[in-house]
Amino acid sequence: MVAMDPKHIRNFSIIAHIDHGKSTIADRILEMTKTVASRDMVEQVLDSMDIERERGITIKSQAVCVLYQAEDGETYQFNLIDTPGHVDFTYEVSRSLAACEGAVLVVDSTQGVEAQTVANALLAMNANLEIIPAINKVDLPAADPERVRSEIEDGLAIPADDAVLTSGKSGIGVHDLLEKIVERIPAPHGDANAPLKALIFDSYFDAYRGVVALIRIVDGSIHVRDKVRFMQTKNECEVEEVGVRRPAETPVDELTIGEVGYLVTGLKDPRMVKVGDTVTLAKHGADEPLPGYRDVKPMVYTGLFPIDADQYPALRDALDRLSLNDPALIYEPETSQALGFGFRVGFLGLLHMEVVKERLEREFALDLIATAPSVEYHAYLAGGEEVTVHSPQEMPDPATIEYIEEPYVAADIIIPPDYIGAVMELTTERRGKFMNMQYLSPTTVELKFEMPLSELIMDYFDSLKSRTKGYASLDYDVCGYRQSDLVKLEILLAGNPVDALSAIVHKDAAFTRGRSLCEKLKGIIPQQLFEVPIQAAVGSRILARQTVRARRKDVLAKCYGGDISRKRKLLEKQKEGKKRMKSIGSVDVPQEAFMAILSVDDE
Amino acid sequence: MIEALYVHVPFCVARCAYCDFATNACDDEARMDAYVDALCMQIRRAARSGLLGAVKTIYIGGGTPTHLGARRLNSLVYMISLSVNLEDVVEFTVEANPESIDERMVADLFALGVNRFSIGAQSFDEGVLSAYGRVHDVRQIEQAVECVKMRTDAFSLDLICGGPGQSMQSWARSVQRALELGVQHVSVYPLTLEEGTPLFKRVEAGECMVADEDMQAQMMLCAAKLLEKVGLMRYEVASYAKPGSESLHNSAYWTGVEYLGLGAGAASMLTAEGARAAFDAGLFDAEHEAAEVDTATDRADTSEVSGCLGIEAKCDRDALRAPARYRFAANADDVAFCSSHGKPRVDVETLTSREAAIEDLMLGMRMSVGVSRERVLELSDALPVFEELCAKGLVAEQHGRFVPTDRGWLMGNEIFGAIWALAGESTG
Repeated sequence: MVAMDPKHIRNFSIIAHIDHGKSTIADRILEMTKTVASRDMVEQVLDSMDIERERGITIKSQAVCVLYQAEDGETYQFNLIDTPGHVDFTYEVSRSLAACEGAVLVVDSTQGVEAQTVANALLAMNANLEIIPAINKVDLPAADPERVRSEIEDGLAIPADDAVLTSGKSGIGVHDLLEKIVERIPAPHGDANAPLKALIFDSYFDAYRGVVALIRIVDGSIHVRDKVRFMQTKNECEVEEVGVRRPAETPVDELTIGEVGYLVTGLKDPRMVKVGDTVTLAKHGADEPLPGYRDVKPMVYTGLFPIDADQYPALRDALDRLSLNDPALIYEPETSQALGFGFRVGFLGLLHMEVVKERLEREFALDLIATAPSVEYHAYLAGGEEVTVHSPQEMPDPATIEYIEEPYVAADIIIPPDYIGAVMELTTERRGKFMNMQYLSPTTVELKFEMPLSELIMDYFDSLKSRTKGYASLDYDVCGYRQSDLVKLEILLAGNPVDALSAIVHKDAAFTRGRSLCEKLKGIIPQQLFEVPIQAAVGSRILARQTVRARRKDVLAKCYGGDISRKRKLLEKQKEGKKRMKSIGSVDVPQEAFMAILSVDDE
Repeated sequence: MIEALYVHVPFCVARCAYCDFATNACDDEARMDAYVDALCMQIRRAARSGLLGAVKTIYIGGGTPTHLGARRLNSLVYMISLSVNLEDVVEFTVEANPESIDERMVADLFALGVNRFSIGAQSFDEGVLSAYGRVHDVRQIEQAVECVKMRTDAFSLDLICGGPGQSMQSWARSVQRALELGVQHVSVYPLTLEEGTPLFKRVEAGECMVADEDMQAQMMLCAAKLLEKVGLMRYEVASYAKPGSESLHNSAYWTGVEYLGLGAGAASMLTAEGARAAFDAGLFDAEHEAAEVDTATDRADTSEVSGCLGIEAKCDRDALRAPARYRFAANADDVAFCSSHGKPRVDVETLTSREAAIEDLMLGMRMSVGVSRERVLELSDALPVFEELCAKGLVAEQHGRFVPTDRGWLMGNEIFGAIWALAGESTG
C-alpha cells in the first residue's frame, strides 16, 4: 500500500454523552465507507467486549482506518478513533483526542447537552480540535434540534448553525457528516524528516504477540524491524509488525506522519507500554517526548473477596489476566478476618470498578463480595510522617494522627431546573460545596460543586438519578486533597469488630451512618442461638446499638419413618445455607450484610 | 431383623389445611378396595418370605386408616393378623380420626389384635379446628375417646399448637382437656407451614396469622409443664407419656431398629440383608430399582465385594465404605400401587456404617434418654461436637449420657445439624 499523502488524512474522534448514539454513528460510517460488509455488520462493531455492547458503553479505545471517496473526487483516509465515553477514563480520552485533529460531537436531539457532553467537549477544546456538532436521532418524534442547537451554542460556546442533523439509526445526514469531516477537519501536519514521534493512545495484550500499542505518528515514520524506545518507561523493543485496522488488522510496511495504526511490540509485560507515552527510534530518536503524559493512578479502592475461599487462586489468576489488558487495574493481596483472603483492588473510578467486578464474575465465574469502596486518604502523623490509607484497616491509631486529607472532586451536574433543589439538598448532605450554576438553555441547568470523592463513590450517582427521576447527568474530576475531620466507624457483632463492615466517614456523619447501618444489619442478620448485639463505634465510643434476639425455637417435631430422610436433607440444606454465610466469631453473617454498607440511603 | 412394621393408608375424608402428606381426599369405594387388595398382596409376599417373623410392633398410619371404613380396615388387619405372629407383637397401633371411628370398629380391631389407638385430636378449640380444616368437632373427639376406652386405655392424642388465631389460653385449655380424658400418651407438634398448602397460602395472603417461633416456643414449654405435672413425661421431642406407655413403634424409628414400610408412600429402613430380602420377596419394583441398589453399593471397590448387594466386603476398610443402611421411600401414587399389585417403585438411599452411626446419634438425641458417652466415643470425632453442644447449653451430660437440655428441646435442629455435619467430614 502506498503511503497516503497527509493532506488526505483525517483523524477524528466521535465524542458524546452515554447513549447519545456515538457507536451507531460510527457503525454507519463504517457501513457507508464499505469498511464492513453489511452482512458482517453487528451492531456497534467497535465495542468488542460483551459488557461494552450490553451496556452501550465503550471502555477501550479503538481505531479504525476507512477510505472515503469524497464529492471532490479525491479518496481520503479517515482514522476514526472511538474513545471511552466515561469520566473514569478521562485521561485515556484525552490521549485519544490528542491523536486527532478533529472531533464529531454527537448530541441526542431528544436529550440535549448532558454532563459528559460538556466534559468531552471541554477535553476536545483543550486539545485544540476542530469540533463538528452532530445533532443525532432527529428522526425520533421527541427530537428538538433547535433547542439542542441553542444548548450547544449557549452552553458550550461551540457554533452550531451548521451542525449536521443525523440519525445513526436510519443513516440520515451521515453522508453530510462525512463531507463536513473532509471539509472542516484539518489534515495532520508533522515533519516527515524529523525523528520518529508517535503517541500511544491505547494498548492491549495479545497472548501470541505480546503488547500491541495503538499509535498515531506525529513526526517521522515507523517501519517493521525498527528498534524503538518508549520515552517515558524507557523500554526498548524491535517492531515486529505495524499495520492499520480496517477494522481487521492489516499489516503495512510503514506508518508515516498523520497515520494511525497498531504496533506489535512482542513485549510480555503490559506495564512496559503506557498510554500517553511517546514511541521514538532507539537510535537517533527524538529529544523530547510528546506532552501530556501522566502516570495513571487508581482513585477508588475496594476489597474483593471470593465467597467461596477455594476460589482465591482463581481470583488471583483472573486479576492477572484482566490486568494484562487493563494496566490501570492494580491489586495486592489483602486478608480480612471476616472475609478471609482476597485482594485490595484499585480502580480509576466507579464504572471501572463495576465493569471489572462484572467481568470477574461473568468471564471467570467467580462469586465475589466487594467491600465498601474507599479512596486514598493521606494521614499525617504527629511525628510528621505521612501514611497512605486505602482501607479502614490501614487507618493509624487516631491518637497518633495530626490530620487527615482526602481527595476532592469538582462535580458537574446537568439537570432540568425543576430538580435544582433536590440536587442541592443531596449534594450538601454529602458535604458538597456549591460553586456555580449556569443555565445552558431555559430547560437545562449546569450545577458545579466541590465534594469529597469518598461521598461521591458511596452511591451518590444512584441517589442523584433517583432524586431527579433519571434526568441528571454527572461528571467529575479530581481537584486535589483537602483536610477533613474523618473517623473510622467500626461495626461490632457480639462485641467483636468486623473489619469488612468498617468505614472511614466524616465525624458529623458517623452517628447517622452508624445508626442506619445497625438498623440495616438487624434486618439482615438472622436470629441465632444467642442474642447478637450490633454496635457502631468510633474508637471506644458506642454510637448506636441494635439487638438481634436469640432464636427461641428451631426444631422439626415430627420425625417418624419417612421423615428421617427428609429431615436429614433439610439439615443439609440448612448447613449449605450456613456455609454461604460468613462465620464471624460465633455469629453467622449473610453476604447481604456486606452489601449493606455499600449504600447509605436512610429509609 | 425387621422388628417394626408400618402400613400406610393414603386416604382421608378431606385434606387438612396444613397437610402436605402422602394422602388423598377420597370417597371412591373401588379405589379404596383396590388399594387394600394390593396392600394385602404386598403383606402376603412379605410374610411368605419370612420377613415378618420377628415383628414386635405394628403401626397402621395415614392418611386416615379409619377412613377405609370397617369392612376394608377389618380385612387389612385380618390379613396382618394372618401374616404376623401376633403372640410376639407387643404393640399394634391404628391411627384414627374422630369422625371415622365408632364403637363397633374399635371392638372389631381390638378383637383382631389391635391394642393401641392414636387419635388425631389436634385441638379442643372449635375455631382452631375449623381453621385447620379438620372435619370433626370437639364432641367427636370426646366420643372417639369414649369408644376406645371401652376396650383399652392405651391411646394417644395428637395436638398441634400455634394454629390460626390460637391464643396461649386456648392452647393450655386443649392440653388440659386432653388430660381430662385420661390420656396416657400425647404428641405435641408446633404447626409447620408447608409451602403450597391452603393454610400457607392464607397466611401468605395475610388472611390469617399463625404463631411465630417465639410463641410456638412458649406453647411447647406450656405443654411440657402441664403434661409433666400430671406424670406424662417427655420421652422425645414431641412425645409425652406415662412411664410404660411410651410408643414402642415410634421409638424404633429413633433407635436404629430395622423397619419395613408397606403401602404407597411408606418408608423402610433396612440393613443390607434386609434390603436384598425385600427385593427378593418382590415387595418393590426390582426392575427399576435393583440396578440402582447395585450401583449404590459400588461405593466399595467392586473387586473386593461379593453378593448382589455387595455387602460382604472382604476387609474392614471396605466394609466402612459399603452401604450399611438402606432407606427406601415407596412411590406415593396409590393408583400406580394398585396397578403394580403392591409392588411400588422405591427411591433408595444408602448410608455407610459411619453415616448410620451418626444418624443413630442424631436420632438418639431426639429422646430424653439421649446417647451414652460410650456410643459417642465409638466415632473418633464425635465427642468434640457433643462437648460444644454442651458448651452452648443445648446438651447436658448426666450419668454418662448426653441428653437434651430444656433449650435443646426447642433448638433441636442445632443439635441434629451439628451431629449430622459429622457425616460430611472424612472418616479419617
